[in-house]
Amino acid sequence: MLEIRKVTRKFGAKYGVRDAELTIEPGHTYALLGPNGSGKTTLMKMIAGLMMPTSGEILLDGVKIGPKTKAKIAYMPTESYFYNYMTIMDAGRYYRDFFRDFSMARYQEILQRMDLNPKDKIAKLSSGMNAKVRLALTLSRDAELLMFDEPLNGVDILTRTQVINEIIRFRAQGRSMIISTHLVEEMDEYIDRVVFMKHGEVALQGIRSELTQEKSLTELYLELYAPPAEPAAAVAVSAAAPAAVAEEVAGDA
Amino acid sequence: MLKLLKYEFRKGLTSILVMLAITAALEGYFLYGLFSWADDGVHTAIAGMMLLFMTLAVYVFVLVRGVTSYSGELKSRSAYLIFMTPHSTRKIIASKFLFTFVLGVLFGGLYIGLGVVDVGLLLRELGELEEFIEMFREAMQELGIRVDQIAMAAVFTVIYMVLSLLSFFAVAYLAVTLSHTLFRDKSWRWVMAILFYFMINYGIGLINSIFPTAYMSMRFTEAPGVGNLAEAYGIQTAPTFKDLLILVVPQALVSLATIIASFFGCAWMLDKKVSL
Repeated sequence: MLEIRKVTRKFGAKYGVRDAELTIEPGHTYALLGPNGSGKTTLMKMIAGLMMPTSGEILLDGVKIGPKTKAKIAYMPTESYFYNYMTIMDAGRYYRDFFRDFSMARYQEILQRMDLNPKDKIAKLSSGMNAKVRLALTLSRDAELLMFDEPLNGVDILTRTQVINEIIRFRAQGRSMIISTHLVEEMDEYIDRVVFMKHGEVALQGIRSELTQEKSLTELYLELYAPPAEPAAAVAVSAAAPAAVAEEVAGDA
Repeated sequence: MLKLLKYEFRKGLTSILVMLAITAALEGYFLYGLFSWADDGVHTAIAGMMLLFMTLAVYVFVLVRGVTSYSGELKSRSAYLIFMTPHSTRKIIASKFLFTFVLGVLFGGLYIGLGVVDVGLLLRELGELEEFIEMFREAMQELGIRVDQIAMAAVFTVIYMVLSLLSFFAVAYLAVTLSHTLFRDKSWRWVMAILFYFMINYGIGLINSIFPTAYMSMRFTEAPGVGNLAEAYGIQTAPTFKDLLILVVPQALVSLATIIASFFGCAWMLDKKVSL
């Protein structure tokens, strides 16, 4: 379905993504894991067509990323991206105008479930509420591939549950999803494929059930990313305050 | 395309309404001055001057607004809204060009309309409209200028001016896209955009200098009799159709080529190098 072939994205002399090779198969939920600066957002932006690879290519159903693939990919960026004048309903109308697969009825339904008032101005919403709007817009599209970049970023615990529930609801419909997150434990049971990114490279990838036969995802995460000299300390921090770790790595580049 | 235009319009709506409100206030002031004739028409004169100034200000506003809005969009997250949509970069850029063009035409139409109405009202109020028209007609006759010449010159001038303005605008877009592509993360990229803007315009100026200028191509019409009066006083009369062709066509073609090259240049850079 989605093929990422030797994709590299450079920013000056630095690598955002380096020689990434990945195949996203239909009907699966992928977790894109990695700390701040590991290249998750850069990779997602390239798939969404918001950034061009320096080399390599990305194909969706054999078609290079461009206007045609944008019609099939729904992307939820990690930050707010709305015009200042927009209300929640305006954002829905915008999506309806540009995406044929957008369902206004479903959008309104999700807004209602998440206690969002369509008349509210998006610019005045809290980051959690804003995340809900972005999520509602993305989930209201019948896209082939749904991508969520840090959907739990800046979201409080109560809202987090709502967000996860919404994603699960649509995961059940058998659509392909890529979710980038560092809240490994909270997404653990809902994902079936895992991709770990490190310094812009795909460090480890595979089927979650196979990868986690001996170690949990959190243990794998820490093994890959925690400083080698202080593994015990890192585990202790993670176990005591996972949210704090999440805050620390928020705003992945 | 229409939907892209719709959102371009919506984004610029506040500033458009502000310009319209200022224009309406000035027009109101002009009409008040005209019909009350307070202070012997001083208010009318002030309002008239301000309306004239406003005409220029609106054009600068239309062009500057278009470019600054585009520049701001490229560095803000709101660019996702447009670039996530299944539209080619050519369509996106075309919608921006077209919107600025349409806005310019609409404001131009508005001010020409206001000018015609206001001057008509002023002359009618002063009871000298017919006298003025007669005087104008006689002056034109003295200079050997025919109405069709004036109309022709006006049409050519408008075409040339519109193309020139659009080419300035297109070059500004190109300069912004170029600086954003080459110096994406640099805070001083706007300085580079200005530098690129002047460099490209300098290059276009060099190309234009090959062609005849207005001064060189203007010559006296060969109108026997009355036309010679103008010549006797050393006054240049309206150019002939051939003069206009020589004067306008090459420079208009350069402007047109600039617009097309800038358009495809912007679209290509956004397509191949875009980084939002």
